[in-house]
Amino acid sequence: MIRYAIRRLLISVPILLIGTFLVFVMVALSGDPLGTLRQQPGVTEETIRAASASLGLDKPIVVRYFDWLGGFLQGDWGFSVALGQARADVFTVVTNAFWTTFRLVIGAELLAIVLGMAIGVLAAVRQYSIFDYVATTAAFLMFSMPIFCVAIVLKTYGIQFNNFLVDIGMDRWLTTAGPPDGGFSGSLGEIISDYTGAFLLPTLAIMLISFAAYSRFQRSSMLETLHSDYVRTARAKGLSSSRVVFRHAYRNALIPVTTLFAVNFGAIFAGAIVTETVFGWKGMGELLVRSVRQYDPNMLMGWLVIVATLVVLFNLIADLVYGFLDPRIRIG
Amino acid sequence: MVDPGLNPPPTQLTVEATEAAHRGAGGDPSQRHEFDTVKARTQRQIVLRRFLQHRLAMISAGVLLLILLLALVMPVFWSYSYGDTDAGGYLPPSGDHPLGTDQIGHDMVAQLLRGTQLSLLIAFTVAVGATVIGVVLGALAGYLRGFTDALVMRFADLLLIIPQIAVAAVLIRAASGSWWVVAIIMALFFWMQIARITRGETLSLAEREFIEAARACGAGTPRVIFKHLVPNMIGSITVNATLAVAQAVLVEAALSFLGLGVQPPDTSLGVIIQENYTQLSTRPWLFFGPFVVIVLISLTINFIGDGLRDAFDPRQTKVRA
Repeated sequence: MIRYAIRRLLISVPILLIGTFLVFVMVALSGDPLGTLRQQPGVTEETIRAASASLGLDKPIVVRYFDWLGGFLQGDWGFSVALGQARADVFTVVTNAFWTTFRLVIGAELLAIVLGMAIGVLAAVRQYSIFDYVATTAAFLMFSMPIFCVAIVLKTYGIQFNNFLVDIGMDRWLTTAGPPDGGFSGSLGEIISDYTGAFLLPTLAIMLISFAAYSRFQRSSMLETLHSDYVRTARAKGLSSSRVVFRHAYRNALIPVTTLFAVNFGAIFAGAIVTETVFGWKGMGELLVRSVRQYDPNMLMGWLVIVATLVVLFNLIADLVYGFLDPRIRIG
Repeated sequence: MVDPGLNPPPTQLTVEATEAAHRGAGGDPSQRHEFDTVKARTQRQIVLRRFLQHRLAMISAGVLLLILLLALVMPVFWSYSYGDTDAGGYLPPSGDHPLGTDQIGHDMVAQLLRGTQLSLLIAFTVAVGATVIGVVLGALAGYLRGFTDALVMRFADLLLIIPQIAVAAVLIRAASGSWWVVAIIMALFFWMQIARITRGETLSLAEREFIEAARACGAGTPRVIFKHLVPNMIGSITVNATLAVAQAVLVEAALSFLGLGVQPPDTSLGVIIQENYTQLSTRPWLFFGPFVVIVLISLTINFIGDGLRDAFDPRQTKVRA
């Protein structure tokens, strides 16, 4: 297992290197960081050439990639070239944005996976019952819905709920403009109220969409196990229905779903991008949109490398967990 | 899936059987043959029959067709075009503007029609493009194995580690967002799943005798892939292409919502929502119009995909994923 993990980690290194190179070329070719400078009146050719040389833009792209890579590996991720950012350090900005998104996504996904598993198993055990049909319809509806629409609806009615609270003489509870900058403070009760107020709606939006996929996946995996030979054997031995379902079938049906989370990590992150934009969180989503609009190559590279590394890591974790949970799969 | 060469010849038996069915109970009993009850059907007939019997999928197909027809035909008769801004801003719904107008006086119905047109156009282009790329690369990887296999699949892995929405956003911004740029760039990041599935099926099909026979007859790689492999994988290819349309509708809407997809003055469903969502509490019709259309399109396509999966599944287990 450990040898397998190390080997996989070593394979990830060239994949990430080639990946970052392709992304670097793509980012470099897709815009001109001096575009705004060029458009300003009274900027001479020499100023542009000097700016270009100071950013290293006059060198060939391969050289620029290795310059960037060398700096990146030493912890120097460059600085933002976008206007109004005052040469902000990419590392600080990206890691801050990452933690903002991560604490939102992790909570929402854990809730979604627990709920999805429970509903998926119930729907499979009571196949073709009313519960199954309701769960199926809800799931189909949810993953046919664009996540930003769910977020918009939640946000708008959250604001109306706040207004209602104010009307009956209470304080606003739900925040729809991101968590407070300075963290949470006050008494324990206030902290809990602030915390749930800030997290409730975006968590709900991400959860509702993910949960649909998990419950469908769990249902079909559970149905497959319920129809397998060893479950029939268990029934034939005269074991009680609940014992067959929970001791024999359920445990094995969990395996594919637990790994779905890790494999889908990239998609989950993409969903968070849109949700954050709606709820005004200053996370990875807002950062991506801003960097793309203003064309900020260093910021984009930092963003893409962080997310790509995470996806590779989570894929590795998925494979390891799979081998750990299912003794039929031998890795090494 | 059955190899086409192994299908029983459908001609005579079917003709006899249908004739018997036409004559019905009143037909001459002496004319009845022992095998009349066994109708031989081609695979296409079997699949079509199963699909037509799938009630939810048929209703969905009807609704989708209706949306498609409305989006294509109605703009001809509608008195406003999607670019017209001569009406007043934020007019409430009336006989003239059934869904009101937006801030700068676009008629909402005309906007919705144009948005639906573009969203569907992009989604279908993405699905077709991604399916063609995915099937060709996946079949090549599975059939040729070795170096080609490693190259294609590692490349697919590479594309999968970066959120497609981010890369698409960067590229679309660089190439300015007319609809076909958005569609082509999205297709370039949609083929990996289809390639994986095609490769998997090709790996097992390539071991079968009929492929060996085709090669013994001197068929080259393109002929084996397009004449022998693809027809035998048509089930999973169709199902995945259908589901890709539904995904593409949602991804396009999300991109346009972030302002990184189709650019105004042209419009798509995502753009309409982006322009009007702040009005949800005061003028809900401006938001719910495009919202309902997106959900209807993606829901019906998902149901059709589901029906197709059931229809193509020879085991007919009715387990939906």
